[in-house]
Amino acid sequence: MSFFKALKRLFSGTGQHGRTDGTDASTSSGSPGETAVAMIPCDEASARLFEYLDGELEGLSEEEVRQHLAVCEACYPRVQFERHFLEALQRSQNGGRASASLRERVLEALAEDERPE
Amino acid sequence: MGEPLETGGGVPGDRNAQGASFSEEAVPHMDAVYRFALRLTGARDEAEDLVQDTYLRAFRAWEQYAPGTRCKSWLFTICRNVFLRGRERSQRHDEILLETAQDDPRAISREAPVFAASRDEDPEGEFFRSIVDAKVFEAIDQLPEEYRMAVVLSDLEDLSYGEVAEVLEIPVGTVKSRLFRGRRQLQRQLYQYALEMGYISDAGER
Repeated sequence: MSFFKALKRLFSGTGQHGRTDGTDASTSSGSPGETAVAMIPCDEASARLFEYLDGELEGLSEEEVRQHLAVCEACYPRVQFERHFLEALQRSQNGGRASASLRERVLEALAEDERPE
Repeated sequence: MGEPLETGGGVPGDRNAQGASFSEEAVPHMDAVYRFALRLTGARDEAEDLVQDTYLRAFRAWEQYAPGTRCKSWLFTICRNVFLRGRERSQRHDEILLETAQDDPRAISREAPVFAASRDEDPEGEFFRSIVDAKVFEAIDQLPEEYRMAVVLSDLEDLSYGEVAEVLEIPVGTVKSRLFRGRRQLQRQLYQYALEMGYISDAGER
């Protein structure tokens, strides 16, 4: 294909009528049902990994990471690694409870405090 | 269990002008406040005193609590303030964190030295599952205070980045970098512990 033909094709492809033959449908936006998000590189997914696991990403940013992790075998161990770590922290949350004596003490102090002098 | 204040709702002070009841909204969070206090002070007695002071102060400030905001976060904010003020008095010096404006939380998230170190032996970090809670606490207690607060609020008490930012009075970006750095440091410590306990063997030594 000549350079000019290629150019022409490129420009016609950007028009309202959408893509020309042969373009990869998965890289263009469109069909609302099956959102085709461009694949982000591993590096970018891992940079956003904590935010993703913490549920702090939204919209496209979250979707990009989700889709990357869904298919990327290389990233899988890393995701599991961070998950197991965060689970260990969450699990330890059950460790501490206010004792009955503390509870009583605090409630007494509050009752004392509101008694009009 | 959040038993209501024995004094009930008829007593002045329990219900504020917005109709929020202290005994119903604040008292049930005592376990969480205690856990936070315990990680701040590192000692049970001090933690209990801190919880009592926090609740007294919260009770006196109850008029300022706006329903709709998360009561747990509000109590953590008070708890932290009481703790910091008490420490100022006792003149114990804080560790100084070298935080630079260039701290990019995403770069910290991207680097994972412990993951890299344990990659051959235990790529998915199964060793984290073997670590007992007491060791997790021990590792948390060794974190610099600023990292520790961020980790406890986010990872143990499940606050969002925005809520942590409010409690600690810092921007969300700083929450991220403290949280991510704290996590990396924790991972190093837990990994070290796992090596010592033989949950994992050091591939680098072979």
